Amino acid sequence: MTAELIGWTDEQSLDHRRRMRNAMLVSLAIHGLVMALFAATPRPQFASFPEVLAVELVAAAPAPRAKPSAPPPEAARSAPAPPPVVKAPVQVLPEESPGRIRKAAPKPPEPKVVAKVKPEPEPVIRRPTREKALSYEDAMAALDDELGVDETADLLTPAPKKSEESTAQASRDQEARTGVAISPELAAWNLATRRLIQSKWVTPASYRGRGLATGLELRLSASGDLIGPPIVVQSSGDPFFDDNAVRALLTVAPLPPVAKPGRRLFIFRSEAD
Amino acid sequence: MIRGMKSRSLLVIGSALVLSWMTMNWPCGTAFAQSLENEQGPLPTLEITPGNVRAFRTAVLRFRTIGLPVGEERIATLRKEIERSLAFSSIVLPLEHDAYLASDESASFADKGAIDCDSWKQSGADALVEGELRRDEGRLRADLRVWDIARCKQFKTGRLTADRDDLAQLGRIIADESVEALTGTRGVAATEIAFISDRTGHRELYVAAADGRDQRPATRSNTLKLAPDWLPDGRAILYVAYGALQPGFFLTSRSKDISPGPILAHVMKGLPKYRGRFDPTGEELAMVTSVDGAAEIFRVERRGNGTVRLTNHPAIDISPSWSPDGREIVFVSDRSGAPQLYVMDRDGGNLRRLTFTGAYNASPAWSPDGRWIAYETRVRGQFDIWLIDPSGQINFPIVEHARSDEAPTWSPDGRKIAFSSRRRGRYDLYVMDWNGENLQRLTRRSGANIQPDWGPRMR
Repeated sequence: MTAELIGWTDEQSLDHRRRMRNAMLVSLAIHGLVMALFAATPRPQFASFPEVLAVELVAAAPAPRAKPSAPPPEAARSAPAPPPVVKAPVQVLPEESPGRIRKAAPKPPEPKVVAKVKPEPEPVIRRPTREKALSYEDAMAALDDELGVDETADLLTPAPKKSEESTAQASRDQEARTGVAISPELAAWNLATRRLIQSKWVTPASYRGRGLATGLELRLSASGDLIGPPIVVQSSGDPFFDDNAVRALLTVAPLPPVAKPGRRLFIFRSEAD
Repeated sequence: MIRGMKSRSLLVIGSALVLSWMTMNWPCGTAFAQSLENEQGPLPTLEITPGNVRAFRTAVLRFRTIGLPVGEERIATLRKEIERSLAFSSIVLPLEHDAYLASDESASFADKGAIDCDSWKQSGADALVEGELRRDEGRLRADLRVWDIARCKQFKTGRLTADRDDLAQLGRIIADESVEALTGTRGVAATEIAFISDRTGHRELYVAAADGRDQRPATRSNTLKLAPDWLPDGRAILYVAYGALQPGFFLTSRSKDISPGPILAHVMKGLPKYRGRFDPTGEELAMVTSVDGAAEIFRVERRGNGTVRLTNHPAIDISPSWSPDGREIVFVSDRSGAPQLYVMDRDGGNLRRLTFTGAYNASPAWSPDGRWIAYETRVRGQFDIWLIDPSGQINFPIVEHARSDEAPTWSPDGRKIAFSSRRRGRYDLYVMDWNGENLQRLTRRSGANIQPDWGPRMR
């Protein structure tokens, strides 16, 4: 209990410290008084030791054993505080684990308000009961800490599947999507350009699942250079998603050389169809 | 005259020939021709879908010092703190120093010249942070420039001051500003998380930086404390303390304007108060108390006036969480026979059940953007964290683990979720992205750490 409340003021803590100080003062005063009395009174004459009597121990008949009472609820056993504090966690339970409330039936600590008798909640913080049974896990945790085990390895996020697009496939896909047949050369350019942009376009998870789409119009020279900045012709509604798409194009430029230079429309979508 | 007309005709014809040649052969001429064609038909269109790049890369340069006796070590510390806080964001990561193809020293702000954008572009940087440090009237002052490498111009400039020589906090704020420049939403490295810990033998209220550092107690009275909830302006934390009598509400404060101590003690006097949740304005609370043996939810003004009963059912109604606009409350009720999530208006009307799957759903937390409600659900005897949209149409797990993950709380930017978990045996605090990626452990070997509540941004 050496840590200080840096920046925080808590009246309960102040009260506690005040109480501790008062208790210390009272204790000192009582000790002083006792010592003064001890010093003031004459030394008593010690009585001689009583005569020692030899006693033979005889086994008595066993008394009827009382029925063992039910073990206290786990919460009470685990609660470290004195009685009033032990009661407190029982009250917490309804807030924490309502489902278990119906299982246990301890009486509420303050029956004042209770009109109907309802099954008493089992402590919500009951889940900690599992902690006790898992002491080996504490050892595991300490071991992990020491060995530097990385728990993030628990979360295996499957890498997105990379489709094995071939140029011909891309051409067919494009045709299927738009109903317009495109040359294999254009399909190859589309594929290369898409992959180039995908390698630089930052798409945080926060963009996912929102159905965002930004349309950018750009002009390309035959060498793939951008002629002028891309223009947002269709906004996604999220200015940062739009801006991010523009920035991705500026970052990857120049694009691969293109057979038919001119205007192009690039549509950046927040997720694949 | 006729000769003049002839020569003019020849000139026009010649010009036309030259123009047509340019149109057919020069790149821009071709583009122009192409554009004319395009205007008569649809533009060639290319659809781009996301690749695998999830985070921006930012180069952090060493700050210059202006008339300030700051050692090299402290300058390096500030840089490290900025990079560490950027990494915590998991959306803007620091560029590895080995990749730098240009000087890593900040330029003088007096020199308004641009940086070497081509080199930084080749380095793989999306943005660059540079700055100057000086002492201004006894306070530490940082002047900041964040560069957009793609456009080679400044995203933003700013001036930050710190009361103390707290380089860690200064670094967090600079990182959060950089995240805002790139994404439009400020980072949360400079925010804090309140939680309950029994590391000293009693359940006390603690506060830690969002990345888990600087853990310190905010109460110390050796009584049981639970259910922390930040005042929306971050100046105080509400908690429930169990003394000799009924559990009641208390505030711990770090502002001279807010008195610490018991609050709402005169409201529903004699009744236990299990949990309080401030609405987004901080003027009202959703409060759980016990009436006739059943836990019910009330709405009460922070000053203690105007108590409104929101639920009235013999079942248990607990764990309220406000929608970000303050119009609705999601809560847990077992009126169907098992704990499930329900949503009601702030006046208790328009009640509807939200979850229909899972036998035990609890601890709802509404996201800051209002799109999701995170909650814990019991699966094979332990708890996982799921997300559900407020209409109940989309419902999916974000964390599944053989050990319990519980009590989710959202970061103010809605990008992260903190929770307590027993995956390493004891309850520890963890934080992850809202989609379950980038898991980080915040507490280690320090007792049971439960019930995190992510605090607001502080300007």
